[in-house]
Amino acid sequence: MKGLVILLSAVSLLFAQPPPGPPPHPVSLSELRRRLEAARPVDLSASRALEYSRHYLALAEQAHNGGRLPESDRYAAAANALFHVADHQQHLHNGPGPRQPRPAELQDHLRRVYFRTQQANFFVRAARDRSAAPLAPWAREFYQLALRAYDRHDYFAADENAKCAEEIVNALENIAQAANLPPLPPA
Amino acid sequence: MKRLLQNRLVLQLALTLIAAASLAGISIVVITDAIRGAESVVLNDTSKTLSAALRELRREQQERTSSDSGWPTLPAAARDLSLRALSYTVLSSFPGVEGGFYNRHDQFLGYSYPTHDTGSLKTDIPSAERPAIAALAQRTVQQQQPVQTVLRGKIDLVVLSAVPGALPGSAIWVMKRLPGRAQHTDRAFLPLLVLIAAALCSILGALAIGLKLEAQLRREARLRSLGRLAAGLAHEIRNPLNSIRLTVQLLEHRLRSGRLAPDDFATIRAEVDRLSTLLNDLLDLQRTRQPQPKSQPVAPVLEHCLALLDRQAQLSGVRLSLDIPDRSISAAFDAHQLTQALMNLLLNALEASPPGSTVTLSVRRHKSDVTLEVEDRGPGLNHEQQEHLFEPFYTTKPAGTGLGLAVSRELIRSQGGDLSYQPGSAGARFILQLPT
Repeated sequence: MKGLVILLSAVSLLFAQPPPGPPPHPVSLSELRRRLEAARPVDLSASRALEYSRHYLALAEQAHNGGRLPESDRYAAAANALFHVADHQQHLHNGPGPRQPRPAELQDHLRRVYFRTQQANFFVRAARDRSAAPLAPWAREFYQLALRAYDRHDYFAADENAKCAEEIVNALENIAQAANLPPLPPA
Repeated sequence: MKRLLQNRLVLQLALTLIAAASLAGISIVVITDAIRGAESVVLNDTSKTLSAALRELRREQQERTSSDSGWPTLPAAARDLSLRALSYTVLSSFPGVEGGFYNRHDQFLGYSYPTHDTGSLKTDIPSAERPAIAALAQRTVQQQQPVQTVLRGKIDLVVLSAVPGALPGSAIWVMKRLPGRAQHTDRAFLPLLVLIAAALCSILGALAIGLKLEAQLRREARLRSLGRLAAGLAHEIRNPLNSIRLTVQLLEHRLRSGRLAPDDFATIRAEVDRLSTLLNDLLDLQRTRQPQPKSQPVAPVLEHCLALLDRQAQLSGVRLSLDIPDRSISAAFDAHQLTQALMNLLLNALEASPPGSTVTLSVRRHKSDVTLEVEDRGPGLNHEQQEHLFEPFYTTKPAGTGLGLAVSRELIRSQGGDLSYQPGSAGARFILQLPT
């Protein structure tokens, strides 16, 4: 009787498994791929950001196909953050909209971005990925551009450049997280 | 006769023992007091350091977790890494302090000890203190208030502090090891009663410990200040250099495409100017011109400063007001250096003031000095800002070098005066004392 219960439980568990194939992805890889293919860079920085984004999307797809979903999530988030850098370059190209950031908010934003850029080297070290190393100085360059724009009271450019710096550090953080996930248990 | 001599000898011996016991008793009191006094100074200073570290960690944790809606769903290893980066960056400014985060589910996360002696990335929580840290963090989570404890080991003393974290059910903890702690004198009380010499040696030993602890305190303060200075300097120099490099790359690109314009060099010039200003400020700090103070009325200098700032005040919508009860008030000062220091203070006050408010410069005569007060109606300074206000490179302004106040204080002190901060009735108030 006891053996029968165990057998039935095992059978019910088998049928309760989700359908085969990976579950839906938080950042849709196909959607990101489509956006990257449609993107037209407005300048060298945007082009560089899109190039990085493609690289990390490829790593996300590779991890996804290998069933390493948490790792795929992190790389996809990094690719998405780098895609946003190109977005902010587009905003800078288009010029300011009706709502300008206020200096007080911007000061706080710059303070936060400064703190994030301080973390960039830590993430590079943790990522153990040579291709990610140039992202740290790049983020600091954007922070510097933001400071200069702030100095000349161009709050729109300061805000957009600060966001670029922030997105690059976000990407670095995700890359470092991907490299430090525990290995998946054997299937 | 022999018995009398014997009695006398016994009496002398008894008197000597009583005197020895009294002296040893007094020695014990003195030793205990000296050690406890020195220890409490170090503990108090450490406690303040740990509280400041916890405040910064909590603020950064709050910002990091609230800006990321996906934070709770991240794998623990990913959260651990992000929090480690956060604690690493914050604790880099706190030599000797290690710490991290705790929650009921994952236990320990985000541990780091960035100023660890070996220089390599230390990622393991000290095993000896782990149970005490866990107990302290659990108590903090339960009581929802800051908790501190001191662990007394054989060789060192460990101060542990924790506060509730920014997320429910979490805590943030930090600890600092104080090496070479004083031995428990209570245990040594009995042997010392017998050995007066040892007690005297202990007095000297205690004094030495007190001096050592005091020297350690001073050394730590110096190291911390030096660390901030080096970090600030590196950042201030690196930023313009990065910018120059970026611009040169852009110029190369434009040169190749034949689109080079004269304005393209403005950025490099501006950054070089910025570096040059930074170096000049640094040199001002190190090599203040020999002041030439002479007794003279203060009013003309103050009026000159206000006139220089009049246009800027109008643009900011801020009123500048001079409150001087008697125009003949005189003090001994170097007019050029006083102008430089006052301009720094007034510019800061103008920047901090909301439109429509008033910045007041008032003069008061006292018995042995004259004080000048610059008061604004801005947000004022919090406790942490007040603590580091006059340190080189400490700034709350994104574009500031953090040298203005440090230079101003040096200028005034070199003339026998002083510059200090007191919270004003509404905003900030700087008090400049000049000898008469």
